[in-house]
Amino acid sequence: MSEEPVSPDESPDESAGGTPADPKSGRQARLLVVLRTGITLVLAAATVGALAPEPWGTGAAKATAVMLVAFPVGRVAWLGVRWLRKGDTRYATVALLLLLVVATGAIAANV
Amino acid sequence: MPAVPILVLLSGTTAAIGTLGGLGGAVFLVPLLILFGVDPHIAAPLGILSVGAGSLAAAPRQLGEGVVHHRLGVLCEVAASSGAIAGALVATHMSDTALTVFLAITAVIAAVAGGRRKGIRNPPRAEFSGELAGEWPGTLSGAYRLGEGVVPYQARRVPAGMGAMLGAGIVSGVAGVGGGFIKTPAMSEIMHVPVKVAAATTTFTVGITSATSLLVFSAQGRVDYVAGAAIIVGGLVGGVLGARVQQALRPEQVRKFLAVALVIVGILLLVDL
Repeated sequence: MSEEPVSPDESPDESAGGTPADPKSGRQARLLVVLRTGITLVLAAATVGALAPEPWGTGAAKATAVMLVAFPVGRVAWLGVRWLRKGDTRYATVALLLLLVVATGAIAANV
Repeated sequence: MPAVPILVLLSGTTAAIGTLGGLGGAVFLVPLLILFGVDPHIAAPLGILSVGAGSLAAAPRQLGEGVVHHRLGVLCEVAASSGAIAGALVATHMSDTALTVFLAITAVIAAVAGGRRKGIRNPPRAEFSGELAGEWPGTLSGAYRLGEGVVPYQARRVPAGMGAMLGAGIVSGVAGVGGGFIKTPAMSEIMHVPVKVAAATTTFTVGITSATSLLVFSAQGRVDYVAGAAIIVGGLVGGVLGARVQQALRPEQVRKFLAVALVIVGILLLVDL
């Protein structure tokens, strides 16, 4: 079983008598899994969108565009929650501010 | 509109180049699409789709290498996305010629600024040899691996950098590009962030900029989704390839490549006038 490298952002807690497993460690590994899954989903949907006949093609193509918006925005939301849980309220607030900016853009475009 | 295989090839090539230099790809793709006869109002959203695909494709590798500074990226992106929204609103009042000249000049200036710098600004420090690569929590500092050593860094001149990001966002909103060809040099030259970290962090942020711009373009009815799907297929493949090649290059190589690529972009834009 390969060992996941621990980044400075998720140092394991230490206690007398050993180093217990940090329940928060490895969460960037989960983000990696989500991103890799996202690449597969987007590639599959985009391939269908480019090659399939209507109406499947347009439907799959639109779903691809939706995912290209959802993944980066979702990543920012995930980071914000993660930073908030780690007590980094400053950058959690920055992440929230960014999400508000994106939301404002979406609203302004439809006005 | 070019055939699907041509769209895939164009997008893949430009995405690989964009990921390698932290440019985002669309700054190359949009002029090429226009040269192939695509309406500029349709080419810009297609470029943005390429940006988003390239950003997603490069994300896992760059995240695993610890070269993305998420806090710096999110902070910079507040300014950039705000600029992108403003740029999209201003775009209707700018002529195509004025915008093209503006982009060309900006690309050449960035090429000159990046190409003039010699040596490595952030050398490895022996006392940090035991550090893990990655950002340091709650700060705009971090460390990344350079060969056998570890290089600490800290973002500086943040207000000036945010100003540059705002400008990059405006350009993005106006022209339909990710703005990476402004963001990476700004992060490297103004904020003194190592080139590899700047490029990887920019690749992260242009994904957000593309999402913001795509929401606006979609509301305006300017997105050809089927052509966009072909663009995305090429963008994903090119982004993965670009990220892998980036890992094997030295900072000087990345900087020189970036400078050459930006000059080519500037020439392409002016020739297209």
